[in-house]
Amino acid sequence: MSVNSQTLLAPVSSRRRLTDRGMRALLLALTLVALVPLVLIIYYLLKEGLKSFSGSFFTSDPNFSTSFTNGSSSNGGGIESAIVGSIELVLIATIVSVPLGLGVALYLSEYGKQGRLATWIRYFLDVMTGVPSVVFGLFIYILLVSGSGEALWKASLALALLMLPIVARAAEVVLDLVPGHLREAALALGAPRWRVISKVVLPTAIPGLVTGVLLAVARGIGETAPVLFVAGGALGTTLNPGGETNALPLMIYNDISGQYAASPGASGQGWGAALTLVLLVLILNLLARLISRRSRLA
Amino acid sequence: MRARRTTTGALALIAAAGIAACGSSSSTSTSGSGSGSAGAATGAKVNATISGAGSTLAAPIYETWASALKSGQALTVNYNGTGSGAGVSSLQGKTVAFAGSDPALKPKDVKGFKGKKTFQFPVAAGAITVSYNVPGVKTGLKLTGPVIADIFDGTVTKWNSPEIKSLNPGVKLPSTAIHTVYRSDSSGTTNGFTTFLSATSPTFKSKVGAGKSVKFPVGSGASGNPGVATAVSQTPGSVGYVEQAYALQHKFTYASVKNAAGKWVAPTIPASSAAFTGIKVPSNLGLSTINSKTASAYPIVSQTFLDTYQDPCKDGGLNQTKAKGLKAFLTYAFGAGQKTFGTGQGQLPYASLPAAIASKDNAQLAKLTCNGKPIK
Repeated sequence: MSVNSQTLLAPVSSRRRLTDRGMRALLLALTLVALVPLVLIIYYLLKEGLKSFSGSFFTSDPNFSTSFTNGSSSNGGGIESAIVGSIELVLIATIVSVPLGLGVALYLSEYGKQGRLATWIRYFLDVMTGVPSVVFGLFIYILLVSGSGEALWKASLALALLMLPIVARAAEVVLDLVPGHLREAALALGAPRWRVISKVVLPTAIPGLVTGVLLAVARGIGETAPVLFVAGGALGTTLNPGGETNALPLMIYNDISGQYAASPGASGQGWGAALTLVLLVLILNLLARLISRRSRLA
Repeated sequence: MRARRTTTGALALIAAAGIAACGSSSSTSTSGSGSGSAGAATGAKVNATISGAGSTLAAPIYETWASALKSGQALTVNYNGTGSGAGVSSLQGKTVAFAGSDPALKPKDVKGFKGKKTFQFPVAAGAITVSYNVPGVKTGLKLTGPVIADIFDGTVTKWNSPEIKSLNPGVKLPSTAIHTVYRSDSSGTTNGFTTFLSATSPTFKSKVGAGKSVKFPVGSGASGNPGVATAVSQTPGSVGYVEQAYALQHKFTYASVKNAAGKWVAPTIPASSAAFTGIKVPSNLGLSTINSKTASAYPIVSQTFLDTYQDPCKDGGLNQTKAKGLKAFLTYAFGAGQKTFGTGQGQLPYASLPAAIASKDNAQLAKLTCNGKPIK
């Protein structure tokens, strides 16, 4: 018996080793293949985007009108209105979606718990997370834009709808992480429910909540679909929420394959806007990581 | 205790940001860029923002005017070049204050406004060039309507085919295959181009026909004048139809075309302006400059219109301020705006309106109302 197993072991072991090595090499190769597009994206973004970066690129509005006049040259201008527009869009969207999302999360984690209504709400939030962003844009278009025109606040509302489920679900997870004994201790000291929430639960969870909000903001700022046909795409910088606005994703689309595609300087401007957008999202993500690392919970 | 302070701090910050965002809404929209242009600043200042969409043929005009008005008056005009067809739909959907449309409104378009009365104002005219990218051919070829029709319906497939050769003796033509580029969106440029081809070639009329979106049997589609210009510049052997401003922007070589009087005419500003000569102007101002009979006129010149509601407040959803802004914009368009066209340095390559038509525009403009009352 033992002789038998010995003779069996030797050949199997070398085949196994070969298979193991082969599979390991295959998986490594697949991982490298998967990395290729990512590396290429970063490479092209930096290569094309950095060319257009300059001081005036961030402090001047896009302008293509002069490229058509006789004997003039134009470089398309900068992307100030797109940056300002994108920041305004997510700022308003955050102001709308964060209190709502936080309220939903507090209800779910402090009152609803595993009840039937709470389960349904959770289910709907998950469905909302899965709704394609263009549908939110369409909804706002039908409801608000058709018949009265495009505007910054309407695009913000579309983004807020998109961010709401993300904020709510992220916040609920963080609130659930607050240890139950903290609540019990506070209740045992005679504190009413609202004081427990406002003085114990929320302060404990705040770093996690901020992380969740920042991730939702990062998602919202890059969304193209709702902005595309709700924001209006004005070239000038506007601080009026009722006016039409530019935004970074919109600028990229218009520059590369939209209405300014043929204009001189448009493609460089588009790449520059893309790099700016990626940098903004990267900064938001890094901030979120930094805050969550300092959190007492996670 | 520490945690509490952070919370209140954060809340205060959010509140402050909110107040800042709301507070600045009324005041700071036009603090920008100097005040160089003197011509625009004649009328009273109107602090308004209006938006328009449509014709890409006319987009350079509206963009240039918008930037002149922004520095001259406190008026912001946002224009999206979405194509003539889409522009009219946007106006019907009341998402814009005005539409740019190259062809006059047809009964079908009027029906889309559901009985609401609209105005169309001729704004300018632009030459639709037959621009090509054929390596080695740097001079302007001579082409007739029927030959251009044959190229775009797929009958003529090579650059050195006898049809083109016989019109251009002495020009060395390569045997490259012809690749045509047409507009994929609903387009006034397509309407002007196919109207001319249908008028000169009965086969094209029966095979393809005239309209804003027609089905070309060969070639590939691109969106907007910018899209066609980009496609032609990137594809050797290709030919497309783009407005002259785009052809000049891309430094294209374009053809001289035989007009109705039998003369070879290259697209130039004087040749486009000549298309207005002896034109019939109907009472709704729905004129057409295509296939002009004038001997010095380029035959494929398309007029472009600005369409809006007669009562943009009641029917178009504008408020009093925006209606005032629209009127100020139109006043500029038929006055100082016409002086931005020409062949000089810094001018736009379009044909300006003859004085007689501009005055008809102004007469119609006076009839614009807001909730039944004249706009002051």
